Amino acid sequence: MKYQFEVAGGDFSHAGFVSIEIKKIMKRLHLPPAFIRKLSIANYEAEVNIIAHAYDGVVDLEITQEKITTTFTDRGPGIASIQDAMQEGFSTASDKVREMGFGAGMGLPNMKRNSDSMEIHTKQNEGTIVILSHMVPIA
Amino acid sequence: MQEHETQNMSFDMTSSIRSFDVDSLAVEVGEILYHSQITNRFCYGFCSDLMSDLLTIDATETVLITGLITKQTIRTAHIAEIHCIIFVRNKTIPKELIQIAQELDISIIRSPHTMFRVCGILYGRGVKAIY
Repeated sequence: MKYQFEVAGGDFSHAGFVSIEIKKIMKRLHLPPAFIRKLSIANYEAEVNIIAHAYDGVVDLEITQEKITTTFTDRGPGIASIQDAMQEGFSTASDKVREMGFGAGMGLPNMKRNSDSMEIHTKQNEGTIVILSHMVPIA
Repeated sequence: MQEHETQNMSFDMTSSIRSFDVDSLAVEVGEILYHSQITNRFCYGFCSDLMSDLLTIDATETVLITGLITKQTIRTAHIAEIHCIIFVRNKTIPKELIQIAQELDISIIRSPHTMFRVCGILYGRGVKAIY
């Protein structure tokens, strides 16, 4: 199964819409709550990152029997240093983003912690692709 | 002395964790603005105005205490599997926010107290810290 969602950059009023939709799909598939929670947190962090840093983006969800893959592709400034961004507490978020309770520099490390694998491809002034994979637990 | 040791050994750690429902939390600290359709029990409390922090904890059976009145707070709580939020400092909660809480079925309590006081009261009643 494949789904695609759009995310508008800077639009915090809709932050979480895509992650909540994906969470609903996971619930319909009757996946274990702990699995859904991990996947939802990783997705939400990635979605908030697009809203906080990029102009816009798309989220592709691919579901197979073995694996759930979410790919977050944005048009934006890119990540200057993935190594820096992976450090807990490192953030380039604006004051506006911080006022919303985000931008604590936990996004990328938390995505990694809550997924089975994470890939990042980024190009300065073009955008970033984050691919999160979650192995479906055997019932 | 021997008796004391025996008593300590038979002490059941699980019985020391109390759990609360939304009504019993509200009696302690404020008024319910929305009550979830499901009966949830809460053993732990977590307070933060930083949503990023909320996403880094295991929030099972946890009530969130916050002064951050935004739609994002409700959505972040939903993602983190938090089923009750206490908004502190007697802030006005917009109707729109209550609607989102209804949609996501998250109980909302408004407290006239400061965050420090709410935490103190709940901790005193036996609500545990996550760590």
